[in-house]
Parts: sequence; structure tokens; C-alpha cells
Amino acid sequence: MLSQVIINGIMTGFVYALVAVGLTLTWGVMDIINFAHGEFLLWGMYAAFGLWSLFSLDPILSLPVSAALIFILGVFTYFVVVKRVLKASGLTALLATFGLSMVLKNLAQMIFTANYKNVTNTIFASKTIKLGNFFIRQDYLAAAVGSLTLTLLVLTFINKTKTGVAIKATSMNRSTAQLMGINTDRIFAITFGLSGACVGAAAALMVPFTPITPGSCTLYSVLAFVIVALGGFGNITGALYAGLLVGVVEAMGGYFLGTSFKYAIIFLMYLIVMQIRPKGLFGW
Amino acid sequence: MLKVKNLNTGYGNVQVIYDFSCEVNPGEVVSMVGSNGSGKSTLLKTISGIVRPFSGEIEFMGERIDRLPAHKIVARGIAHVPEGRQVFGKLSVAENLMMGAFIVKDEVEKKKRLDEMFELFPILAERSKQAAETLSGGEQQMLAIARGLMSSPKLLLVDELSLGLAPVLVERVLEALKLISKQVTILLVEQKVQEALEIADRGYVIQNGRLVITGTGAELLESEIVKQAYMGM
Repeated sequence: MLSQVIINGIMTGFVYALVAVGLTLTWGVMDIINFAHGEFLLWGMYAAFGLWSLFSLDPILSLPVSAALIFILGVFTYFVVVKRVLKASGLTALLATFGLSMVLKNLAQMIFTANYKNVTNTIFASKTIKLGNFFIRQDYLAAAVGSLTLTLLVLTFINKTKTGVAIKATSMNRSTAQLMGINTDRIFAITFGLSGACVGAAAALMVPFTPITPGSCTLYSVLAFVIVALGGFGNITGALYAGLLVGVVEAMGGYFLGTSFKYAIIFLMYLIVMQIRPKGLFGW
Repeated sequence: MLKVKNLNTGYGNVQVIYDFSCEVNPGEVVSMVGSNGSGKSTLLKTISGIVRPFSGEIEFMGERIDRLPAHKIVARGIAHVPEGRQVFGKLSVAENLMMGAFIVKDEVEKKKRLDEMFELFPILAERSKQAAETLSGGEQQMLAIARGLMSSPKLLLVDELSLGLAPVLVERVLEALKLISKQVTILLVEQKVQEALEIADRGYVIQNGRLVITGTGAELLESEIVKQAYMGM
């Protein structure tokens, strides 16, 4: 039974990791804390829901569309909100994205109401695979495999492509990157877009088993912050490991202490780790 | 090639450079010398577009560049080797060099230039897979220069080559620069007045953001003002 719990935790962890990878891109690279990250996820979920309810598109199939839509939302956020306050002092950028998160959340509530929306009858819904003594839910498995694949894709993009390396160079030294002929403005926009695409895809993978309501995004947002901090800022592999850790801790906390305490355990672990290793478990 | 006319520049409301004019002709090595805080680096940053001038003109190859963003100025043919080397520490030596050739689209051409740099600085070839931050100060300086050359600039701006380097290394890096100057025009900013003027065709002495004296390298080395102020004679 316990190993079954751990397996479920790992599968959730992969999805958390993808959401956190999105956050770590903007946080680690641009040094901008995007408070609207959870709302990006929310809108990704509503995008998948909308495509499903209007065109009967399965979220797995419409994943590229959700990812593309939130990519656009990310680029839009950069140019309309973040870029204007990039040079402003202190917490201005953070407050600006906080404001954006309010707008996005309440806009969602206005359009979709606060009632839970469910995407049902998806391809993998209520099917399981039996592996020895374990039962693995297919929708969870699809989300885990999809999230891992996309995380590795992002990692490859950052490490192997010219634009990816330019993103890293910009994160290390903005003005020197400009001296290389890198248009850092464009790099920031791409990074914000990529961050959005990660959550847009994660949203599509989650909706088959996650009810959607505007209030739920806060929790995912906070979880993503915790995972990024645990993984080390800007560290994509760190976010992957920390995502798995949080997934497993959540599942075990729920198993041993009851579901009402599972998040308390995660945040307690976070507090302890931050006392001992402020740069995160996998930080530079 | 480069013409700076009546330039006033600085940061925010703090003016650093006052009414400065200078010129660099094709094929020259020009040195800007002056003590720490005299505004030399600010001048280079303004030329390369990292700092916006308050007023005045900067002309390169006959065209105004003082309103262009930094990344477009690189494309015009100016490369800037910044003060303190500023290599991308977590990137490998080869990746650093490739970033230097960011504006070059042709992959074959990039590879060719990479090989040229490895020939010029064999130590970089040896360490090409290593993270730049693991290099010694002298090696990092060579990397910074090589990175600047990767875009095949017409004009290379070099800021405080000697900063934090042992004297023997300064000599070696200056040797390399001399070699490079056969192909690229160089504008050098340096606190080490003697060394900088020795390799320069012409020089400018800056004090408190103002031009004090200009002339050939040899003339300046002989001038009273340079001897008194910078060489303790």
C-alpha cells in the first residue's frame, strides 16, 4: 500500500515539476518573481476545458494549443506588465505581477464562475494498468510521462540551442549579453513565453483529474514557489527533483497524517530545508 | 572610423564625461589612459550602447550610432571586451566563444572563427569544455578578448585589460593584443599608463571626465603632464 502511495506521489511530482520549471525560468533567469504563475496555470486549465467543452477536444490532444495560448499570455505579460517595471526599484515588478494575478483570477471567476468545472470522459479516464501488485491510473501516468518529456525538452532547449544558451548567458550577466549582440528584450519575452508554455502544457495534463476553480491556483502557485526554492533558483534539474520530492512527501503526508495535513508537511519540510540550506537542495 | 563629438554622458543624473571628443582611424591602436574613476569605462560603455549619452554624437563608419541599442551596435562591427572580463562563468569556454559570435548566422563561419581563436589562444582549446569560472584570471582575460573577436569586429573596445592580473600576465595579454591589432582596430582603456601608451599609435589622457591631452603614444610618454601625474617622475 505504501509503495502504491509513493508511486502516485512520484506521478504527481512530475506534473508539479513541470509547473515549477516554468516558474524557475522567469525567476532564475530574469530574477522576476511572477506571482501570476498560478493564474497562468488556471488559464491553461480553462483553455483545455474550453476546447473540450466547445469542440470535444481531448485535453491531451489540445495540449499544444493550451501551451501555445499560455505562451502568448507569457509574452504579452512580459511586454505589457513586466518590461515597463524592469528597471524600477525593489519590489515593483513583484507587485505588478501580483496585480496581474488578481486581474487574471477575477477575470476567470467572472467568465467561468466560481463553480468547479470538470473535464470528463477523457481518453485515459478511469482506466488503470496493473503492474504486479500495483494499480497505475492511466490519466496520472499520461500526465507524468508528458510532464517528464516536456521538462527534458525544456532542459535540452536551454542547454543545447543557441537561444537556450543565450537565455543562460542573459541570466548570468545582462549587459555583457547585450555586448554579444543578444537582444535581451527578446530573450526575456521568449523566457516568459516558455514559462507560460510549461504551465499551459501542465494544465492540459492535469485537467482530466483536477477540478477547475479560480481559487485553486493559489495553492499550485505556492507549491511551485516551494519547489523552485527547494530545487535552487534557475536550476531546471533541481526543480525536477524537488517536484518529485514534494509529490512524494505530499502523498506520504496524506497517507500517514490524513489529507488535511499533507500540505502542512510540505511547508514544514520547506521551512526546515531553508534553515539548513538557504540556496536550496540542488542550488549552485 | 569612430568619431566622438562633444559627448556628455553618465548614469541617471550623475554626469561622468564632459564635452569629450576623440577619433579612432582604421588600423590604429588608440589608448585612453587616466586614473581610476576618470570616466574611461563609462566612455566605452556609451560607445557600445550600454549607457545612453546625455548629449553629443558618436559616429561609426560614417553613421550615427548613439541612439542604437547595444545589440545593434555589435552588428555594426564594434565589439566590447568589458572591464573585469565578465565571462559567463557557468558556461563552457566554447559556449562563451559561441556567444561572442551570436550575431553570426552561418554555422560554418562560426566554426572557422572558433578554430582561429583556438589557434590564437591555444590554452582556450585545451580548456574548451571547462566552465569559464574555473579558468585563471589571465585565461579568462584571453577568453574575453577571444569572445570579443568572434563577431569579427571592425573595432575592438578593450576595457582595463590589466585589472587583477599579475604583471607577467599583463605583458602576455598585451602581446596577444598587439598581434590582434594587425587585423583589427583597437581602442584600449587602461590604468596602466606606461604599458598602454607603449603599444598605442595615439593616446588620450582623461582626468575627471575631461580630455587633458592627446598625441602619439611616444609624445604622451614624454609629456610633463603624463610623467608627473602617472609615472611619479
